[in-house]
Amino acid sequence: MAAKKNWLKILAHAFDHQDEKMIQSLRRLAAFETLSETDINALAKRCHIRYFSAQEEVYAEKSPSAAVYFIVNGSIGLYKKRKSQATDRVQAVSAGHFFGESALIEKAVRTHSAKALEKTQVIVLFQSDFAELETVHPHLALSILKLVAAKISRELHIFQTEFHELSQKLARDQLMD
Amino acid sequence: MSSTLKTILISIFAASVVIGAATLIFALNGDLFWGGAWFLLIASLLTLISRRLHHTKSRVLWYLAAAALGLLWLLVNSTALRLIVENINTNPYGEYVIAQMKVRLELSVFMLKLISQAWLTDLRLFIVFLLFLFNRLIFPTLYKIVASRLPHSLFEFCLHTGKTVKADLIDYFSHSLALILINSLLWFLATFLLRFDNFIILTLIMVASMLTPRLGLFLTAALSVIYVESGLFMLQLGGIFIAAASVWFIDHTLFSKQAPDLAMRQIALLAAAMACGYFLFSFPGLFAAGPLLIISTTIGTHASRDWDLIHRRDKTLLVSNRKNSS
Repeated sequence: MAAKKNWLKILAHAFDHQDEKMIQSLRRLAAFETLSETDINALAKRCHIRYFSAQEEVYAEKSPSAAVYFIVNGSIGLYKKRKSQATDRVQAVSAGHFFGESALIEKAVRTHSAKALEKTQVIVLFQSDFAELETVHPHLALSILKLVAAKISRELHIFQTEFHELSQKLARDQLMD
Repeated sequence: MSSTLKTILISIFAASVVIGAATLIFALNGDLFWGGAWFLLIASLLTLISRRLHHTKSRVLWYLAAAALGLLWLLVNSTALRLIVENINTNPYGEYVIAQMKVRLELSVFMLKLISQAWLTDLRLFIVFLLFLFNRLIFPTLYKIVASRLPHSLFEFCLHTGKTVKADLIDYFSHSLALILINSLLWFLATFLLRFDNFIILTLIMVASMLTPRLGLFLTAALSVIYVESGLFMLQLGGIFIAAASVWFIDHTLFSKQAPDLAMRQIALLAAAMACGYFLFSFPGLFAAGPLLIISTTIGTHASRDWDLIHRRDKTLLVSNRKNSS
């Protein structure tokens, strides 16, 4: 009887705090600072919170793209396998940022794997929930897509700059030779 | 294991689970079973309406639609049920059908009995109301608590597969419902106006065949060919055009999912499923085979496609995830 009462207490507590915890976590993300209360509530209904210990795998390379992950606490490393089967870390994503955004754009496989670098808390938004947002809250879906577009644009800019510097360096080296 | 074999095995497993769960619920309480079926039907209809109305951002229209459904139920309930029960005890078919094959009579009586048994009684309506409350107030939080307890190795697989299957099945049920409503209404009107002898049989078969989107047209055409022997060829021809027009209209204007190649591939599967259903469960199996096939193959296809989402198992995962629900 006591065990049953205890179980009910845990369940009631979980019910009370489930949404509140999610809303607080979403509010902590800079990306969602400007969202209205209605939008935050709509997003909170569709997201999940996960906790990863250091070195735990979030998703594997070549697995289907299923969800986008927003980091609340901690950091995540993105890894890519080389032909020699050795794995390189290609990027470290810190708190406040997101990764795995390709799931929102296309139904493809992951081009890298993701692992927690330390104890990490993430918010997960699945592809199908995002598709639902597109029809039910289109402006919210557009806001998220703008975040993704800004990230891709930023990364492209970095890539172009580095590529330019590298090609200049190569040209200089060839001239020196 | 090849992906086709994996899809087949998961589909068979899913079909067994669905049949097992339905049989168990029916054995426990008949009203709970029919209440659940009505809940699925009404929820699909409301989904269909709410999808059309969300752009207006007007909650009033949504409530008006729900109220209209309620009013429709009140108007139709007693009158239609009384009519059906009376029809079982009399001869609604005319002399022509009486002289026809025994199976037609058995089938029509079965359908009428099924409808009278499955009717939305007050108790079932109350169950539907409770299920709506559960679905709205308790289920989302309960679902998140259960999801947070899943280990990382299964989290993406279970949730992604579950969510995509749910979205596809909602689409299927609402799609089917729109087809049933429009086609059965058109058929009923056509047959009623022309006083066709066995219009009830045809309408009910039509309704059942419409449970499988895109295949209804083919089944209707086949049935129409069989019924040409009745001498009312023009009516059957008209029925084919009505069915074709309504299916075309819905697929092209509302759903944009016209796929005749898919229908041709699935028709053999459906025929096999209907044959199995008939031998196992007689008439109920014949009509449940289509929806069951769609449900199990949807689960099988998605689960097989997302199988790679199950990744490395780590014993530390369960420990870390207990924090989710604390």
